[in-house]
Amino acid sequence: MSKLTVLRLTLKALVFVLGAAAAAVGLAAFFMPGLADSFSFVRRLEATLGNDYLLVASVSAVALLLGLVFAFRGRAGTVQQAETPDAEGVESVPAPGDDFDELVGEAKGWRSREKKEEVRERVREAAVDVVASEENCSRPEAERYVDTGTWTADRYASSFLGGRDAPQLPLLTRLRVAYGGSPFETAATRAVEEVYERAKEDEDV
Amino acid sequence: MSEQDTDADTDGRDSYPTRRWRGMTALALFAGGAGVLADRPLILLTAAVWVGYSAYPRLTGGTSVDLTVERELSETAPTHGDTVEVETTIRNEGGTLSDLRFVDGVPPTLSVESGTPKHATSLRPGGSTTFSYEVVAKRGRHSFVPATVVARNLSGSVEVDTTAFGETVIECAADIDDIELRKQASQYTGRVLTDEGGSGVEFHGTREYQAGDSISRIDWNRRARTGELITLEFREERSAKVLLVIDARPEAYVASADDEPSAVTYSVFAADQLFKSLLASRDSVGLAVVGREDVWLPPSTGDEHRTRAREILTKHPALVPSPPRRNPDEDQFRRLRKRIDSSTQVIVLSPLADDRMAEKARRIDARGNAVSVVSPDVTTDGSPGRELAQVERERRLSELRQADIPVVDWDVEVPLAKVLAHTREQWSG
Amino acid sequence: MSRRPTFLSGLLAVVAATAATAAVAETVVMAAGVAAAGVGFVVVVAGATLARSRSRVLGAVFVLAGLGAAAGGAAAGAVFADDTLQAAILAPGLVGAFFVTLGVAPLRGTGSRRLIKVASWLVFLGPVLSAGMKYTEPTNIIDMARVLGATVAAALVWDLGENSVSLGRHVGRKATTFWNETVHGVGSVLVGAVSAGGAYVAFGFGTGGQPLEGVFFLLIAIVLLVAFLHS
Repeated sequence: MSKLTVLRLTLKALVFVLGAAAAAVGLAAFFMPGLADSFSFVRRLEATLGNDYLLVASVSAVALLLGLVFAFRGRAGTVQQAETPDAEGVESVPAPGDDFDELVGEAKGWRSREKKEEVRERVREAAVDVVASEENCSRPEAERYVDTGTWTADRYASSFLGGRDAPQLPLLTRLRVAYGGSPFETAATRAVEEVYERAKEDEDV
Repeated sequence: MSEQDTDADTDGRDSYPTRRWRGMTALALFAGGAGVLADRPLILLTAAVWVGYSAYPRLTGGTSVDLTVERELSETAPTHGDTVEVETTIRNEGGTLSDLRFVDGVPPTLSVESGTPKHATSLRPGGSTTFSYEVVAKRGRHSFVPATVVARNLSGSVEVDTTAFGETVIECAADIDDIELRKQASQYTGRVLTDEGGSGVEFHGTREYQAGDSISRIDWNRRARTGELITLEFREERSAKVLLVIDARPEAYVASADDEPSAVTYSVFAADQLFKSLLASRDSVGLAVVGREDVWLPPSTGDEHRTRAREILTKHPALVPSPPRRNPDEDQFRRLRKRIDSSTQVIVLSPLADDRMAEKARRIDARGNAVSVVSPDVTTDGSPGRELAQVERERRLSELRQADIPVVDWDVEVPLAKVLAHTREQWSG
Repeated sequence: MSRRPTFLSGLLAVVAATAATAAVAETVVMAAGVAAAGVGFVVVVAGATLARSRSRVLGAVFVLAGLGAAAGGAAAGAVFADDTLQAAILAPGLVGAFFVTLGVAPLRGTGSRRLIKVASWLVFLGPVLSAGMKYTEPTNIIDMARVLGATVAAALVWDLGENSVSLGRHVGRKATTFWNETVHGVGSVLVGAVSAGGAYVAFGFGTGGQPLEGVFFLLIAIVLLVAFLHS
């Protein structure tokens, strides 16, 4: 038991003992009027305060103050109870690729350059693979195709993945896309879709 | 009707005061003080009521909880999408529980369709209460988790927060065909081709693929895109020790939709089928899991071994339908590699949702063990990320095949047994 | 999801607040006004439940109708009061009943213990003010019963209201909670009844002529013992 608990418990015991004693005395004074006279300090207190009403009133004042303290300690915020789980819900697992969508969502802002790079890298890897398999060429060759943007006719996709050599989107298009939503997200989506289409074609062949 | 009987239950001791009666003393003092100050005895009397309520929490003791939880399921073998009614009965094995609050331990992967798994009541010693609700079944094996129990004394001044467990399982077959296949002996016949090249094993010829043919003797066609199978006959002296490795890392917990089982569940299912089939042809089969915890069951044979494997597949925490929160430690792969001896063939079961597992498979193969991969395809479409995931997975598949590791690309809509027997239709026609 | 305060206890808390206030009303008219307001509050709680579970429109209708009835009842009581003081005594109780309604309906989220606590303090004032203003010499048992009964009801406002919110947070509104709430409520009512009865009996002894010292020590004893009972 901690020191604080011991202190609290002794205090409580003390209060109880004093209260019981006071009750005993008070009740005794009722039935044995003679006893009352032995507590002359009460009369003296009454004389100091004025009259008997003020005497009991001062006790009540103390009671009221104590009541304020207890009211604060007994406010609704102090009630505690256990937390129960939400049994109706389902723990669902993500679908493959949901992490990419989340990444794109995070990369959309104007501050997240590294995330944008990460997105680009991932799509680029996939694009290079698809191109290499489709054209049946080596990886460095496929990388060249992707960097120069010659792997696809889709301007969004090629400009998203391309390096300096790739054709850029015309300014008007870029403005239009920026107005409609995130240009990064649009370009990434188009690029992935393009890669996906090509991969599907390759498979069916 | 199936009754899932359960064993009796816990007596937790996590009890604490709720402090809900704290304000009564304040009101007693206010009323008393006001009564004296205003010289109104009646107000003083009202203080007595508040004193009574102040004493109430002390007059009610603590509670201890001793409950039994039993559940009855309306379906013993539901199919995917079926509604299963769960009827839970709580029985009080201990003293009076005047204030009992109960939240049933619905498997985290199942959703509640109607009713509610929550209940509150008051139970005398020996008393019981029953309530029911409906869940939607999903493929796989779902166990009920411990139910949450909150008990209070009559005044509510002391609360106990504990749990109550009753073993109940909802097991759902992946497909109607699977149930039928389990009931009948599988009859696989197949014409067979030889393979040119190979890994130093002589092929003695071909024969009809018969029931009980060892899967390990199946030489996966390496150049095919789908799991076309060629059965060969090995020299008898070559023993076949096979190890099934299940990918249960957080990355493998992916599913094609919210109400579909995860790839781990499919891998567990496939492992069960492969284990049975391999044991039937007297190969030694072992089991390992990469995920939440290390699991290692060295290759062996026999009924007891099969039971042990089944225990792991159905109950081990490493394979539960809910994903782990953390990644396994790095050393897990290393420990696994050490345990695999040179004569073991390895079959990896993984959705190939990331590069790591494929990479590890290649490394084991490079060491000299024959590795094959069975990969449930839980990819889907509908968003750029998901489409990209398909492309990336295809790349992993083809990279594995280029490294001469055969891969069975398992479309989970088709039962695995059908995929493995696919060759029957292909070649005997 | 549905972790709203449970219906039975919440409703009874509203009823308790209304009953406590009506019990100390001076005239029948005022009591009727308070009762009408109480009915209005009950309709509001029912409406809030309907709005969230079944039909938003129907629920909204109920809520508005209930609020209207409550306002009407309160106004009628005020208008037909013989004495503004008497009406003023009932005001805290009515506001308290309103707060309970808000806390239990619930106005927001999983209900509010805070509102219910404040409500119980407000309803507490009713019998205190009433006994203070009117009953200088409590003569008959009926007056005493009304005041003591109103006090017990004030305690029930907190107990039932808080239990409603607590159960709601534990198991939600949709769950079956009937026996739980009933047993708990009966326990609380019994405690109140015993305390009120004890008070009445004790009052019998409390006729004048006690020595000051006795009173002094007894008062101190009471304060100390109440402090001991705290928390």
